[in-house]
Amino acid sequence: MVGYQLTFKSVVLLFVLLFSGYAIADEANVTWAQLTDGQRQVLNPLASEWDTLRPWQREKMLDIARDYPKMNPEKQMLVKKRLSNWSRMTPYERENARKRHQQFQALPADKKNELRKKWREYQNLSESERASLRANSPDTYTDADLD
Amino acid sequence: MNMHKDNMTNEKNINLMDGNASSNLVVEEQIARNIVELLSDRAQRISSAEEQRLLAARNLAVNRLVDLQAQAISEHGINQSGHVLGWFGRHAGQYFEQHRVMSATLVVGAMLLTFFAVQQFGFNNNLENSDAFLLASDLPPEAYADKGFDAWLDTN
Amino acid sequence: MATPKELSDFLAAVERRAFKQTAYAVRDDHAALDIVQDAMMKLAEKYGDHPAGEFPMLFQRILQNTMRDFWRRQKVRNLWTTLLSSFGGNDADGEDRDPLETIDVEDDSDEPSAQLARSQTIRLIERALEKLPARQREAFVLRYWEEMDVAETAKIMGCSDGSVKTHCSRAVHALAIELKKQGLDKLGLSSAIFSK
Repeated sequence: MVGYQLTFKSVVLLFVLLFSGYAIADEANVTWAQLTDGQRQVLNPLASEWDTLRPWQREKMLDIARDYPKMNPEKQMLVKKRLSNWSRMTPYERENARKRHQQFQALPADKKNELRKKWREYQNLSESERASLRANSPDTYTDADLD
Repeated sequence: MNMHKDNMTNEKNINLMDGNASSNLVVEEQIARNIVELLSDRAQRISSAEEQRLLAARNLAVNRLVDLQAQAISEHGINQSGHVLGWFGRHAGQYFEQHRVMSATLVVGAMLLTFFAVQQFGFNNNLENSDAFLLASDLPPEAYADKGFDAWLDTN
Repeated sequence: MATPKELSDFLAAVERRAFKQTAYAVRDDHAALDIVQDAMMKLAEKYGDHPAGEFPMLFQRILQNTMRDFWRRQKVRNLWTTLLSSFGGNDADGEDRDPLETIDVEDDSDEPSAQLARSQTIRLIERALEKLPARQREAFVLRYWEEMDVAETAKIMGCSDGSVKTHCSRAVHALAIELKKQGLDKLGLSSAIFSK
């Protein structure tokens, strides 16, 4: 039973990766040189690695470049500042981040403030403390998180 | 429209206008319709903070449904009868038991359809749900992705 | 079995009314948002496998139940005692209500006068709605705003068809009376309410 499930899940994973690559390959197969000036301006932090990124990674970055002009200057600055860190995360981490972000958005204002405060407190912990917290927490990333 | 008389013999007959019960109903419905028009108008003009929270709540619920349905497809058949599409009925199930690879492919296909339907139909394509919005939010992306932060929140 | 898109479309269509309806009932915008959020999640979790056509009724029932849970959890004595008499089902008209004179009207001096009149009317309707006994408000909202028929409304409220009709007519009557009291009919604003 377990073996079957494992095989099944890896088949799913394979399909998802193959399929998503195929579906978006055309749009996202742009080289750095082929991007518009506007796109290059936003995605500047990724200039050196752009051509090495996989199509699905490039697609996500292009989505960000598309939404960037719709934001105010303050938000645009934040996007640019955080873009490199974001691109370095794995798909699993980014997917998890999206879920947490949605949960955050659904919180009332006072809870949001509380969480901002907690994040600042957490930053003050030593790096070794934070590392041990990460190591000890259960692995919440499953294949289902790849949707 | 429901026009039969109410049995109001024991109740105080509240007349909004001279006339019988059915014309009272007509008037009642007319007034109600007008009031509701104004209420709907007001409901359209909620604040953007409120709108945002409703959107976020909606997305949480829809994502939950996506998760539940994906889970149901992958778990339900396998646990119960050992073949993936057992829940479509015994006959269909028997057919698919003999064609495991094909049934697995069909299930994967269904999951992918759900996945792409979700992408396609826009509720994930609002600005509010985009990665750009995430990057510009109050917390940096590391905050959302840090398992250590999650664990730390749980203990505090 | 409903698709995620069907759920998404349904919630998008109903969420603002659900929020306002709840806000009128619990008189707290923040709590109302929490309650609506809760209700949406419950719909997805418990009834996601139902056909989307059943969503309107299911959602309303979940929403009403979630509101009731909220009331039960409220430790605030004033809110509880105010609602206790009306929620028990006996529609005690008048005793629990503050006179509408105590409502302070916001300063809208820069709004054009037609728009001003309309916003004031809406505000007065909202206040009047909040002051209705709970059962009357529920019946009014379900029947006239959510456009359920009498049988569906009765099912959601757990009462008879006749009770629904009674609650509805009393609600509309009470709303109309309150608006008349404010002299809206004299100002000609009753044209927004009483005619068309």
